[in-house]
Amino acid sequence: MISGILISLLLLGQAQEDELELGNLLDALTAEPAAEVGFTELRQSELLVDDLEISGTLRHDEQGRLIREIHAPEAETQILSASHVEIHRGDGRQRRFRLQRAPELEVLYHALNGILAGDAAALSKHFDTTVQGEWSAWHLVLRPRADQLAESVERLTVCGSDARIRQFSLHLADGEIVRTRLHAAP
Amino acid sequence: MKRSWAPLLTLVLLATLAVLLIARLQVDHRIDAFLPPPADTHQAMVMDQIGSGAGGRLIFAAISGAEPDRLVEASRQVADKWRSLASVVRVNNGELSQEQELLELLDTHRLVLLPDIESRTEPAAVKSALAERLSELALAGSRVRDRVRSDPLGLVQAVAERLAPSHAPETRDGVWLDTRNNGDSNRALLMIVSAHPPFATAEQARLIDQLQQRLASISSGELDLTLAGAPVIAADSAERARTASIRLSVFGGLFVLVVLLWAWRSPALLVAGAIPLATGVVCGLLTVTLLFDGRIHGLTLAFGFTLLGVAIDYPVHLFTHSARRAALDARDIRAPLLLGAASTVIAYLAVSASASPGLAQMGAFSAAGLAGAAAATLLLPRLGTRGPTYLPQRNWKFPNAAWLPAAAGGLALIVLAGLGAERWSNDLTRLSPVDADLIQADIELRRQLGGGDVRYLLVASADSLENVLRATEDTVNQLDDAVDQGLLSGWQAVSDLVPSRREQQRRLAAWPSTERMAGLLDRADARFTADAFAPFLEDLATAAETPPITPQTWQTTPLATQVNALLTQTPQGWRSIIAPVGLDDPAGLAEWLSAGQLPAELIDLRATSEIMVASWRRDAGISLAAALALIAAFLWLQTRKPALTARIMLPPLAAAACTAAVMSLADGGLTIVHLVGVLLAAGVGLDFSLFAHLRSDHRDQSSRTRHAVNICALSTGGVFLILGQSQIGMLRMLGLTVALGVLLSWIFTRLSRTECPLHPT
Repeated sequence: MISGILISLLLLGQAQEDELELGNLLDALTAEPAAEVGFTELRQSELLVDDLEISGTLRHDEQGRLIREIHAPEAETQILSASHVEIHRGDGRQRRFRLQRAPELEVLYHALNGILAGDAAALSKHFDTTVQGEWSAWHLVLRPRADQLAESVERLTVCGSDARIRQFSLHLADGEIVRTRLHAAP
Repeated sequence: MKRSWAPLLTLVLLATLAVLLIARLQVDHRIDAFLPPPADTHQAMVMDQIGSGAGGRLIFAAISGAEPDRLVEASRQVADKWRSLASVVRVNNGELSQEQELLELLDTHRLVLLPDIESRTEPAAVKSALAERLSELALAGSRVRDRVRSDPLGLVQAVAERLAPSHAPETRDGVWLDTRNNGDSNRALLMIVSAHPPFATAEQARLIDQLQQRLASISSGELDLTLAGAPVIAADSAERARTASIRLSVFGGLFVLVVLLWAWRSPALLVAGAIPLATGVVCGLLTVTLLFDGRIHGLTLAFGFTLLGVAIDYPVHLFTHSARRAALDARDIRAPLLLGAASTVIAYLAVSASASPGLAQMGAFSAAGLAGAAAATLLLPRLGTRGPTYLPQRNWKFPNAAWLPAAAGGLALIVLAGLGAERWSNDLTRLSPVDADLIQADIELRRQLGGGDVRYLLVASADSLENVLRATEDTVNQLDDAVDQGLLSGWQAVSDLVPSRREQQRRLAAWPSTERMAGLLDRADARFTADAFAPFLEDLATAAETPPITPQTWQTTPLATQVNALLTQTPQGWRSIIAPVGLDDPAGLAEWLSAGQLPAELIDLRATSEIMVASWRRDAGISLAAALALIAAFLWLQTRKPALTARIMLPPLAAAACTAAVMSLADGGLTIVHLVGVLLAAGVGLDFSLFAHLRSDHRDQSSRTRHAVNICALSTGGVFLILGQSQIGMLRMLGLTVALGVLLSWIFTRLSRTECPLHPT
């Protein structure tokens, strides 16, 4: 169902007349999908002099996998499927582990899958969802339902305006906030 | 009236005693009980490899029957369920990342677990390591923060990768998954450490049941579980021995009952006839209890019931010679019975001198049992049972053709000589009471999980732990050349986990000073803060204070099985195994090892086991030949007539030679079990022959003797034929050999003339 759908994250949406609720929001977001989107993620770490900026592109493939092509700080490709994460490093090394081992990626996978498919039911299966704000500046707050996931990730907030997603904020249970800004693919 | 109760009372007493003795015995089902103790390192290795060695509590499991992803999931689910069982110490499915204690140990010893410190501390290598740490921070943030701080060079991960080399079972998502099983199917592999020793067979059997139930609870019938390992073999062999004992005693007992009822039609005689048997069993059990510390092998117990077949001959002779008389009378049969029993006991004493504990038990059990049965038969008349009133007159007529046994025996010897080495079978697994498929599964799974070759092992031995580790390292350091030459593709050695002290000190000395290391890290990547790696530098500064790694270090982790399998303390010192992987040219590697004067040798397990079996059989053959010579000397001493001795011994010897020739041709070569069977049959045949030479003042003596020998041949041959139907290879070989030997002995005895009678003294 998701396969072939291209990400619609950067479309400039026209003014919406409908009421702002999850179903209408998802409809608006999936109206005209885009192929690929660029992202810049910021992570703070006390080990680093400056915040760590992770940049790359995000896309879906035919098998419904979410592919994060990382360009910096080190080139690598992260392939997220329903059960696994595969990491292909620039130097040719590979790793594969269960999606559950990387809670940040698991939340991202389920959230983006639900949003891109316009599937409110799938989204509600994994998250408690709240939509706030108005069409010009909305927040979709997703709180993981599974205890195991909730132990690591408090919530994912997706912010946007009209039919455009501008930013994710991943609030981790230990207080760290990972912010991801989206822009046109380079 | 009072006297008619005496035999029944005696029998009940004896049976109670037998039950009490059996209840006190510890039944042992070790796979190697029937094998001789190993004579050298090579043989010790063979014994270890068939499951009696260090891995006695290890159960290997393979789950198949589904797609790889489902198998991986099943492996995880079932591992959790198995871990919750009280009888399970540990379950390892390859997921070392879940083992907190192991990770801590790897962390503690990370500075000495890798050999290439110099190359890892070059500026370019440090730079690349820090780039990887940055990737990890980008992926997992604060969850990997502490790990990055204490291990910027990624040593723990490098150690983990080194410990799970590419030739070990493949992993999928961290779980062992074997996809190379000849393309048949994929299998998830697991190792379970049982809380019970392998000889606690009841507990092991219960554990095996629980393991299967737990798998069934997560499966909708599609998953198959294969279990192997010493505990599984022990439980299986216990079950087989138990079934065999029950079946043999039920069918054998029923058979003997029918024969005896048919022969005399008297229930009172049945009771009386059972007394020598019960006495024999009690004497056998008592002897084993006293001589073998109350431990008996399951098969000795099963074998003990075959005494039924031999010992029943004694009362048969007694009854036949007492028929139609007022009371039982042992006078007529005393001489041949004592001679026969004494010779058979001598033969069994020779067997009990065997180096194999199982055979020694069998010999001792049988010698004591037969002596007891003979004595009880001679004392039986005192219980006052009346002799049989019924004595059939019909008798098979045999021509007088004493040349025939001699000719047949001669021909058999020529055949045996002509067969040459072919007449022997050196296959070790035939001598094990365990199902050959089970052993095969065991060896195969063990090797899959060990990652090495099934047949060849490199072995280093030394007087101390340090020296054997050094010898292992010296060998391993050179093996790269052998890999370059294409002799093998890899290996597994204990030195990866337990480096020698010398090597640990060398590695510690190879680290740069704390200040230099701090400088290296600083210059490698400016994005990290100055004190980002303080924990690592602190560990480096105090590394010399960390206690060195010993085999003990890993004992509470899943790696213990690997350490214990590869490193063994022996009476002479220590032994270390280097398991070669992808060994294509064993001869080339052996040559390469000796050319380089390396402190390890290549052992061919199959060749060693064959040499071992052959040399054991030679030893046993010599003691059996000695037994024969002793019997001949004993008979000659008793009769003082060499010609009579020769006549008495001809039928059983000819039958023995023919039996050996037939079994060698028909049963794929003779094993030591066949030899024991031939000896047993010769003992029974000797009894036939001795009785056939009995002279008496009674007119109908020879017809009575013929009648008794017929009944004996039928009952003994029948019991062993029943034994020959056993599922256990050893018992089957023994049963068929003895049945054939008894049949031939009977025919040959009946064909021989009996002109030189024995005096009934």
